[in-house]
Amino acid sequence: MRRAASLLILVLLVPGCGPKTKPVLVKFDATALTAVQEIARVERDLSALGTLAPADALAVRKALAPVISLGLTATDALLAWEPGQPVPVEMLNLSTELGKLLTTATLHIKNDGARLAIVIAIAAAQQAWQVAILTMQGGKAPAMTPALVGVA
Amino acid sequence: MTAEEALKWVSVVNALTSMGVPIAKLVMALKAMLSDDQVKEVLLATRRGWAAAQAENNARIAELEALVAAANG
Repeated sequence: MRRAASLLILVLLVPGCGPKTKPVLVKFDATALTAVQEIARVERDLSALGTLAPADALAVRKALAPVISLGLTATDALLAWEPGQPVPVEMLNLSTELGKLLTTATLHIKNDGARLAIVIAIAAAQQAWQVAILTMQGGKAPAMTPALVGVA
Repeated sequence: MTAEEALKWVSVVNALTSMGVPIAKLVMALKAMLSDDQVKEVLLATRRGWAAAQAENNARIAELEALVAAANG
């Protein structure tokens, strides 16, 4: 216990010994999954209420499919990834696909509250992505924010 | 972790925050202390979440396609 506390203090005090890259990437992966689950929940709720037409619901669900597929491959890539290696390309693609998903979801979902919930969920994933990129690039700001690039 | 150990951790966190260490930095540091095994556990749980989301989405797409086809047919 005392050793663990000392370790925590050491981690806080030694420059460059702060956040490890892998846990930060894991956080992005998990928040991307949360965003997908939130959009699925919103679609089901609005469809059940009759405020989302089946064709619009189908468009949203079809837009979710490539994001989920990338989520799976990105997680597999993360499991095999070690710090020091290039960032798995699937992680970058996952962020880009989240941006496209945001565009599709906001085009088809007209309910303001539901749109806000979706924007917040994707923004959380975006924030986690930014932290990941900052960590990987040693404090340099990312050149762009892919998850929100899709928003017109 | 026992209740006694948890209380010790709380006192460590309290002491550090009273020294002016931001809570966000503390959380990051605690996350950084995750072992490789713990990271792997989290990733495997996340992977199961993605797989479940995929199964649910595929089932919902099939359901909606049938609805749209019925409406158009």
